Amino acid sequence: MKSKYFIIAALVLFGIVAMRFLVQTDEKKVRTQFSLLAEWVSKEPDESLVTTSHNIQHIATLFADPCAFKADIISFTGSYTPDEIAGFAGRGRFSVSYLTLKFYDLDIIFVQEGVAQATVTAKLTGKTKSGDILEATHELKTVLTKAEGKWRFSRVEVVEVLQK
Amino acid sequence: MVTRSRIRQFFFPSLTPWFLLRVALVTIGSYLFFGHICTPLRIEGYSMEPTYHNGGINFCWRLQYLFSEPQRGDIVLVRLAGSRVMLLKRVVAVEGEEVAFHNGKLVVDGTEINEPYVQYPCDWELSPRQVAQGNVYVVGDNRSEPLERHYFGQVSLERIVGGALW
Repeated sequence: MKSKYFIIAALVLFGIVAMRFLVQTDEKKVRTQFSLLAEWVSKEPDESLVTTSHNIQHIATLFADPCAFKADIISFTGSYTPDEIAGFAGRGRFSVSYLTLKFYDLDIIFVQEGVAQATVTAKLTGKTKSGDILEATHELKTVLTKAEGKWRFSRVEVVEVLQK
Repeated sequence: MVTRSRIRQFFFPSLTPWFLLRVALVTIGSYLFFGHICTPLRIEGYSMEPTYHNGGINFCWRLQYLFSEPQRGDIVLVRLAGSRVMLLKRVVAVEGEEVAFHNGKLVVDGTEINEPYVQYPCDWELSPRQVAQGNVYVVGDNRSEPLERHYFGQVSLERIVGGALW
C-alpha cells in the first residue's frame, strides 16, 4: 500500500519536472533569443564560409524592423533594419579571427502583453586579425516585442555604467 | 584500534539526527557566507595589472561598505546587470572632487596624486571633470593602453558591491 503512494508521488513529481522543462513559456522563448544571438555572433577560429553566411543571415531574424540601437561606444546609434544590423555584425565578425559573446544575469520583465524588457550583462572576448585582444563587458537594456508568435529585439541600449 | 575507529567515523559517519543537523547548518552557513557575504571571484582581463593578474582568484567582501563609503585608493567591485560578472576597479576620486589626467598622471582637485600601483607607462590626457554626488571615479591600474580603449569613469555608489578581500 505504501509503495503505491510512493509511486504516485514520484510520478506527480516527475510530471511537474517534465512540464517545467517541456512547456515553452514566453520567458523561455525570450531566453532562447539571447542564446541564439550569442551563438550566431560568436565565431570559431576556423569557421567555414558556409557557417559565416548562415550565422549572418540568421542574426537578421532576431531583430524587429526597425530596431532602435543606442550604442555610442561602438558608434551604432539609430534606427536600423534587420539587414543593416546583420551587415554591421558581419563586418565586425570579418575583422576578428575569433569571437565569443556570452550573456549573464539575464532578467526579464513582461511589461505588457507581447512586450518584454530584459537587462543583461554581455561579455565579448576575441582577437582581431591584427592580433589585438578584444575584451568588452557591458550592461544591456533591451526590449523585445512579440509579433506572429516570435519574439524579436526592438530596442538595444548599451548602459553607460562608467561615465568618463 | 581507537584511532582506526575514529578515522572510520570521520569518513563514514553514522547518519544520526545530530550529524544531519550539523550538515544542514554547515550547508546553509556556507551558502550565506560564500553566496552573499564573501563571494569568490575569478579575475578575467588585464585592466588591473600588475596589482591583479588575469586568471587570479579573490573574494568580494560585501560588508566593506556597509557603514562607510569607498575612499580614494580602494579597490572595488562594480555590478553590471547582476553580480555574476563585475568590474574590478580602483577608486581615484570621490564625490565633489575634480579629476583629470595630465601626462599620464592622476590629478585630483589640481594636485598630482602619487600612485605607486601604476607601474606601466601612461600618457593619458583627460580634461578636468567633477565627480557627481553619490558617485565615485574608478579606473584600472593598467593604463598602458590608449585612454579610449580603457573602460573607466564615474559610477553610482549603488553599483559598488564591495571590495576585494586582498
